[in-house]
Amino acid sequence: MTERLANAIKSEREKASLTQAALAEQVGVSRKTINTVENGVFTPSATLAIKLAQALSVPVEQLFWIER
Amino acid sequence: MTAIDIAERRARNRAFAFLFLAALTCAVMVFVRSGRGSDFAQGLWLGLLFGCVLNLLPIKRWLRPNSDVTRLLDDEGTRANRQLSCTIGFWAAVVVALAFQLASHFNPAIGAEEVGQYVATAGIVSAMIAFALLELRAAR
Repeated sequence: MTERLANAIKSEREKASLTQAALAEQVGVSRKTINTVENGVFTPSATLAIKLAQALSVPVEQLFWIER
Repeated sequence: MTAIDIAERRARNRAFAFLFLAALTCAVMVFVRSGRGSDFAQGLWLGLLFGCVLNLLPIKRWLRPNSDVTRLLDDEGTRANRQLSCTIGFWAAVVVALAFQLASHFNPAIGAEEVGQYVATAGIVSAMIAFALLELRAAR
């Protein structure tokens, strides 16, 4: 059974009216890292996941979940 | 222009520079192996390879750890890309080394210098190309 880390970064980011660049600036990473996390290409570290959740003001489990 | 924009532009330039450097290293190696290569061409190949290796290392972050742009140019996404590209380079070198091992059964005259040159070039150039493509894909 394959598992993947799904996320709601794009929808939460749009809800907060933030661009990828603005979110990247808030969490201190490059825009391409935000882009790859959003598209599920890159699995972020726990540190980055928590920073993203804090920046978007949502619980981390609402932002990331495991899809089977 | 914010640090994010500067880092974005520099990352794209770095990716294109990596592709150019990889192509140049391959071209010089082909020239050297064609038998027309002088000692200068051999030295150029070695210098280019050394330059490629240095470029694959996060030297700027080591030298300027407090710069915002440098930190963004080596964030965790970039580190993951670097790690994956070095793994790809390692496997490319292994495959080429095994191919030469097999080829040596049919042509025992293959020299160690030739093998070393091909293995080193395959490993480093594959890593450079993989890193550049991963970075360009991430920036889309």
